[in-house]
Amino acid sequence: MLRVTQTKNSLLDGASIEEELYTTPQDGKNFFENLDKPAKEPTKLEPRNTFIRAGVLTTVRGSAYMEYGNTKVLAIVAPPKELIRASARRMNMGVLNCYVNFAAFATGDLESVPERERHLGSMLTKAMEPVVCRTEFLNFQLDIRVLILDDDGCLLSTAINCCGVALVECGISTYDLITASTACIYRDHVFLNPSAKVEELLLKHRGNANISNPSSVQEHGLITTASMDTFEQIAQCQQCGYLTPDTYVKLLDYTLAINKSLRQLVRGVLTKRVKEQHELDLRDKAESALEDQRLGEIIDKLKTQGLDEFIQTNIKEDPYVKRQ
Amino acid sequence: MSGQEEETIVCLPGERLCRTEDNIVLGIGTYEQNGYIYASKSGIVSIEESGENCQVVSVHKPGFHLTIPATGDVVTARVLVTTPKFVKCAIFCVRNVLLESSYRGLLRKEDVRETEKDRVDIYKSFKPGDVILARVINQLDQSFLLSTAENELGVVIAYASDSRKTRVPMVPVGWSEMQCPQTTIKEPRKVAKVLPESSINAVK
Repeated sequence: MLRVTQTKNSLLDGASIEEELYTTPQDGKNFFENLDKPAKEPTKLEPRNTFIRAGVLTTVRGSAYMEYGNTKVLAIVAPPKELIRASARRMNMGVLNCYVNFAAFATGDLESVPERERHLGSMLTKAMEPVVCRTEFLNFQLDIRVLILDDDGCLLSTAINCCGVALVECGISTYDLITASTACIYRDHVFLNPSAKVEELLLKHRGNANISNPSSVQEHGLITTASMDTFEQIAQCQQCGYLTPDTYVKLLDYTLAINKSLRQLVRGVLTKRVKEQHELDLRDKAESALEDQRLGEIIDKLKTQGLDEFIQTNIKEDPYVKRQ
Repeated sequence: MSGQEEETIVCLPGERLCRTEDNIVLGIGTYEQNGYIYASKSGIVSIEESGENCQVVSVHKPGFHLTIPATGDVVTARVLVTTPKFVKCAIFCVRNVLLESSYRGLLRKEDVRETEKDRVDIYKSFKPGDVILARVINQLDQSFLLSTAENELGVVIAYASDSRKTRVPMVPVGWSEMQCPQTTIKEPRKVAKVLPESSINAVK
């Protein structure tokens, strides 16, 4: 198999795979033929197999882990920090910062990692800003950190989903739940939740597009949509490639439909989490009530014993005073 | 609504709770949009009666709460720097919640005491290292503006300047003085009249 180094198009949040699969357009075509393709028009609009869990880390208050197919992402929300004047933008809202990091083993293409991290971070920030009630923490900055453990396409959308769960888990006020998904079109085939291979193929196609003859350019492109369904708002819509308006609308509808079903999943996870925590809280309360009762009994006993005696016995028992 | 029913209503951010009406007040964890009240946190919905047919709708998140000092909250802070005009302190506790990271607080000379504001001497009220109770009165650009102009607010724990090593806290003797039980040295402070928990609950 041929190998070349290729600079990553940062706009495409596409995954990269370790070995270059093809170098010439012919190779690409062959590879595409071998790929198992979905039907030209997708019949089932559903997310990949998904696993979400809130509160995976005990050291951080707001954390979430998400597996979207083979893409694995971990998000943590740090408690709000005070803004330092120099870095503060003068506005009456809190500042949101998202940082994305790739685990060393997540991707084979190490050269482009810093640039992709930066781009994913800024796109994630844009997507999360409409969701958070930023008026509630004026003069504070909120840091969201995302660690990508495994990369098999749909990185941005998975990161958005994961951050949304982490925010809610952390108890930060949000206007809505946010869900995101990705769809792309290549050689008239619509791929929902494209895998790393498809995204790579798309990227190559962009590189090889024949500019001198525009009529021959096929529709190819990738679209990532983040939506908040309560008010039917779109938090972010990221698109690249060449799409006709009709195709654009079609892909947008597909992603929105996937977002809806993802939302059900997220709701289920979070509801379960709330119930779980509520039970823990009740148990804690019962325990502290027992403790209070015990202390109350001791105090009652001491009252009948007399205050002077109580003080005397306590002072004698105190190891610190004994040392004197 | 009976207590048992309230327990079971779980809501998530963006869920519509009820219509906004004159006698319904927004509690914590909610926001208003287009005439409806929506939840902004995940948790358990509680509806409380608060006199004169008013109902407070709020969402209580079980488990961890994110706490940020708000105007009117009583906070516990440690004095870091004293200057003739103000005291800088680090807020580490809001109400009864311990914070994960401390926030900056600023206590101006005018807000130390309720009476005789012009005769306040910062150096006779606080020393670096003291633990104080204060009320948040405003949020400035960089820090929270604090006030101790109440009998119950002021220095709670303080150590005499010369006996740092023994770490025996001083005992209040009057509203403006504290005494070290070991060396019997008296030092001026703005002493808080700390009330026992039982009496505070009774007032409420």
